[in-house]
Amino acid sequence: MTKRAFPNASSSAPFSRRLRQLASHTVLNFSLVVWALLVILPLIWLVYSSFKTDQEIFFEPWALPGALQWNNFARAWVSAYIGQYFLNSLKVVIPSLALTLALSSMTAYILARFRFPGNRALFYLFMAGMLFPIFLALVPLFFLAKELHLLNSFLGLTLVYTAYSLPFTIFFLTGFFKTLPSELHEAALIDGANEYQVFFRVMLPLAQPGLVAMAIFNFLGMWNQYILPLVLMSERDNYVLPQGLSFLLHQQYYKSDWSALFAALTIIMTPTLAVYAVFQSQIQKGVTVGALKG
Amino acid sequence: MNKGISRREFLRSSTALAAGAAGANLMPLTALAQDGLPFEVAPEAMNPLGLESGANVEGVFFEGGFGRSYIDNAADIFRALHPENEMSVEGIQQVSEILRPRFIAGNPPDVIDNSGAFNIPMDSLVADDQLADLGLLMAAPSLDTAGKTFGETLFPSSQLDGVFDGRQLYLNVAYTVSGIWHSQSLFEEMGWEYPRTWAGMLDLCETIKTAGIAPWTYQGKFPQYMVFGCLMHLVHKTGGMDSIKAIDNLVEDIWKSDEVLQAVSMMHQLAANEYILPGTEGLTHTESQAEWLQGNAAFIPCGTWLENEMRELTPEGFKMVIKPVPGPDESSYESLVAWPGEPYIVPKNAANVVGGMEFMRCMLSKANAQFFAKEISAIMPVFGGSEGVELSSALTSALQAAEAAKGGFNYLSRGWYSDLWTAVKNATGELLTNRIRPEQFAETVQAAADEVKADGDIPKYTHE
Amino acid sequence: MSININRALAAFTKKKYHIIIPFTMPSLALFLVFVVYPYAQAMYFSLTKWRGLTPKPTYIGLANFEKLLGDAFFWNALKHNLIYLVSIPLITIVIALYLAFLLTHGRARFRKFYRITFFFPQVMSLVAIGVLWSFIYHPTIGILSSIAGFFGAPEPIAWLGNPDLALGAVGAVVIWQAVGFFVVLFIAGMDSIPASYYEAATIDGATRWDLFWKITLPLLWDTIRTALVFLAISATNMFAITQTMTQGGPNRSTDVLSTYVYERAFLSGKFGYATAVAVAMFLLAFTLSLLTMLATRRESVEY
Repeated sequence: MTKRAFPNASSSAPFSRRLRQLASHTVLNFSLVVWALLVILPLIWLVYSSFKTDQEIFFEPWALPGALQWNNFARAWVSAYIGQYFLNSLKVVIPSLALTLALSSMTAYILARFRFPGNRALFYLFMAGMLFPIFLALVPLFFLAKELHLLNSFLGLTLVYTAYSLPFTIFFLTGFFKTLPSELHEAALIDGANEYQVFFRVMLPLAQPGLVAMAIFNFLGMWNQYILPLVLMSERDNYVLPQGLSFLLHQQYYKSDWSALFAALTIIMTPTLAVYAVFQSQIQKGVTVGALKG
Repeated sequence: MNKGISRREFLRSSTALAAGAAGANLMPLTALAQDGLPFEVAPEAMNPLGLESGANVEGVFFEGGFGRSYIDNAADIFRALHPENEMSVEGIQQVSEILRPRFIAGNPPDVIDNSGAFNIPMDSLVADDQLADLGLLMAAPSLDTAGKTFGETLFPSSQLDGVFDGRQLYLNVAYTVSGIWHSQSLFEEMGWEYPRTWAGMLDLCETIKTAGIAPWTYQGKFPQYMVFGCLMHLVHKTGGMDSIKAIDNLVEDIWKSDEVLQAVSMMHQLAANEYILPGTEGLTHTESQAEWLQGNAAFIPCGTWLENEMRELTPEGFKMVIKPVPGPDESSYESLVAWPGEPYIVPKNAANVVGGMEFMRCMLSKANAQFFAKEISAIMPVFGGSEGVELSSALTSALQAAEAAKGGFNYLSRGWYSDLWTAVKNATGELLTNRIRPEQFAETVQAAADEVKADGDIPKYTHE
Repeated sequence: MSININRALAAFTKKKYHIIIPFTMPSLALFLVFVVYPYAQAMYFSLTKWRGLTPKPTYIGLANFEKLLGDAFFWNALKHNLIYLVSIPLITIVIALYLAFLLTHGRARFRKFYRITFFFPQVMSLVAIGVLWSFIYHPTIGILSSIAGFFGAPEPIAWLGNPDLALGAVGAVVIWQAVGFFVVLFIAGMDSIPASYYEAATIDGATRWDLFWKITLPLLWDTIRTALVFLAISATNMFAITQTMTQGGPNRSTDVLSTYVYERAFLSGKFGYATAVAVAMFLLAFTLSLLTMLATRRESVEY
C-alpha cells in the first residue's frame, strides 16, 4: 500500500501550504472518524445489549448492563437450535459460494471480454433476474423443487442459492473484468498461452479483489437468506440459521424476550465478522499477487 | 335467547377459582401419556366421529405468544384417547408462505392453527372452498363434559365469526376481551377512580395531565389497537348492536351516520385535547406498552393477551386491570368487544379430515382449557375452562368485565373485508395525530367501504 | 445466403467459441431452470384472478393491469420508489466514493481498521438493523430525539410515526447500511488502478482533487456504473427494510411497490393482482436499469 500513497509534503514547503495541508488532513480524518463512529457504535450497542435483562434493554436502552446475563445466550442456543442450524447453514453456504464464484467469474469474463452475437441479450437476461420480487416465485419454485426431488435437500438449496446469486455476481464481475488492463491479456497470448490459461493464470488472479468483494457480498446474502429456505427446507432438522432466528423474532412479538434475540443476533453475527476480517486481508494479498504476476 | 355467555357460567368459573381446591381432582398431566386419560370419558364420547385406527393426524400450528405446550398437551390427550393413531405436531411462524404450496398441491395438513401476522386470509380460504364444515364436530358429544355436545361446551358468541352461510368453518381457541387498561396501584396511589362515562374520562384525563403524566398512549405504528380497543366499543355505546351490524353489512353511508360519527368524535377528543403521549405514533406495540408499564401514560387499549406479552417487562407490584370503554352515559358502561382468536381450521382436502376434527375435540376439551388457563394465563372459550385455576389480577378483571358485559359483542367483518379494516386502521392513525378531522375520517372510511361493496371478487356475508 | 451461412459457420467454429460456450452454458442452464422458469410461471399469474390456494387460476386477460391504472395506492407506492430511486444511489455513491478515496489515497492512519469498521452494517442482519434503528428513532428514549431536544425541539419527534418524516427515515437507514459495501467495492476498483498512473501525474504537479477527477473517476467508471445500477435496483425493491421498520405505514407513507405487492398477495389474498403490480415494477426497474446503462455507456476495452 505505501508505494501507492502520495509523496509526503517535504519539510521545505512553504509554511502556509503545510498549514493548509494540515487543515485538510484534519477534515479528512474527521470524516473517517465520524462515519466509523456511526457504524461502530450500533454494533457495540448490539453486543453489550445481548448481556442485559429485558427490562434494561427496554427502559435504559443505552446504559451498560448491570450484570452480565450469560443465560441469554443459553436461551438463544437452546430455543433456536443455533448449534445445529449453524452447521446446516455452513453445509449450504460454502458450496453455494464456491459454485457461484466459479460460474459467475467464467460467464462474466466472457461477457466482458468477448464480442459475439447475443452477448448483450445474455447480459440483460441475467440482469432481469435481479428485478422481480423473490417472494412471488416461491410457489412455482416449490413445485419445481418438488418435481426435481430437491425439497429438503442441501443440494437443492445449494443450486437455488447459486442460481439466485448469479445475476448480481455476473453483473458485478462483468464490470470488474472490464476495468482490468487489456495489455496483460494480449501479452499473455503473444507469449503462447491459450484462452483458458489466460483466464485462469492471468485474469482470475487480477480479478481477485472483485472476487473477494463478491464472496463477501454473497456470503452475507446467503448467510442471512430467509425466504428461500422457508419453503424449500420444511423439516426442522434441515433448518438453517435464519429460520431459527425468525423463530426468536416472532417470539418477540408476543413475549418481548428481547435479550435472547439480541444474544442470537450476536452469535450469528460473530462468524460473519470473522469471515469478513479474514477476507479483508485477502483483498490486499490479491492485489500483491496480481501485481507480481503482471 | 341471549347470545352472550350466561351470567351463571361466569359466576361458576369465578367461584370455582376462588375455591381453588376444585383443581385437586385434576390428575398431573404428565401421567397422561402412560396411564391413559386424566378424566372419565363416556363410551359414546370415545370416538363419535368414527376415526379409523391407524389413520394418522398431521397438525401444523402457528407457534406464537401462546407457545406450543398447550398444543402438545392436546396432542397427548389425543394420543391417550387413540393409541392406534399417531399425531404429529409441527410449530411454524410464516403460515401463509409455508402452507400455501400444500393447499395448491391438494395435500394440506389435517389441522392448522391459522394465526399470527402471516396467516392465510380466512376470506380467501372460504372463497376458494378450502375448509371442512365442522358441523359434525359441533354436534358430536363433548370429550369431558358429560351430556353435552362439543358445540354446547363452547361460549355461544365465541364462534360466530367462523360461521359462513350457516357452516362452521373455523374454531377460535382463545377467548380475549379488549378494553382500556390501567395500573390499579398507580390509581390507588393518586386517588383516581376509573370513570363510568366518556365525559368523566375526559375530566380524569385533564387531572392526569395536570399531574404530569400523559393520560393515554396506544400501539402507535399499529393504530388498529385503537379500533378494536376503543372505537368499536364507542360505536356500540352510541349506536348499539345495530350500528355494529350495519358496519359489518356494509350498509350505505353507515360511517357517516350520526352514531358512528359521534363515536369517532369522542375518540378524536383524546387527540384534540392532546391527551396522548407525545411521540406515541412512532412506537411499536411493545414499545408503547412498555411506556405504559413505566407509568409514562395512564391508559392503553389492548386485549387480554397484554399480561402474557409484557410479562418480562412488568415492574414488580404493577397491578394491571382492564375496564370497559366508558360511553356517553352510564347505562352503556359495561359493553365491550369480546374477541375470540387463534382460529383453527381443518382443510377440506386434508387426508384425514375426521382426524383433524377429533384433534379439535381434544384441543377444546375442558382439561386442555384448564391447562391453558394455568400454564399460559389465557382463556379458552370453554365452559369450566378456568375451574380450579388461580388467575392473575389482570385475568380476573377481564373475566369480571366480560361477565358484566354478558359476554360482550363482536364485529365480524374483520375476517371478511380486510381492505376495509386496513382503511379504518390508517384513518385512525391520521385522526389520532390530528392530521384529519372526524368528518374526513368518515369520508375516507366510507369510500373504502363503498369500494369493498362494489368489488365483485370479494364474497359478501351478513351479520344476522 | 449460402455465403452468409458459411460465414456464420466459420464464425462458430472460431477459436473463441471454445471458451465462450463452456464458460456460459452452466450458469445459463442453472439460471433458466431455477430463476427464469419460476418467474415466467409467476408472471402468468398477472393475467389471472388467483388467491394463491388452488392449482387453477382463472384467466382474465389484462383486467388486473387496467385496475392498476386507477389504483391510487399503486401510484402512491410508485411515487415513493421514484423518490428513493433519485436520492439513495446519489447520496450513497457520493459518500462511498469520498470515503474510499480517502482510504486509498489519503494519509489516514488505521486504514485497515476503517475498512473493517465501515463494513459493519453489512454484517448485521436486517432484523438487528430494524431493532437497532427503532431504538435510535424511538421518540422518547431514542438518541435522535435527545439530540433534537438538545437543539430545542419542543416535543419528542416520532420519526417513523410521522408521515412526513418516515420515508426519509427509512431511506437514511438504507444509505447507512449500503455505504460500507460500496466503499469496499470502490477500494477494490481503486486498488486495481496501477500506481504508476498516479505517480506520473503527481510528478506533473496534479493535486489530489485533479487525481480524483482525471484518473480515479474515469478508470472507476465501470464500477460506479455497476454501483449505480445496483443501487437503482435496490431502490426499486426496498422490501426487507420497509417491512422490518414500518410495514409501509403510517398511512401508507412508506409504502413501496414491493411492500404493496406483499400486502396484496399475502394479506389480501389477491395473488393475481399482486403479480400484476410486480410485473409493472419489473418493467419499470428493467427500463430504468437499461436507460442507466445506456446513458452511462462508454466504449469499453475489448480484445
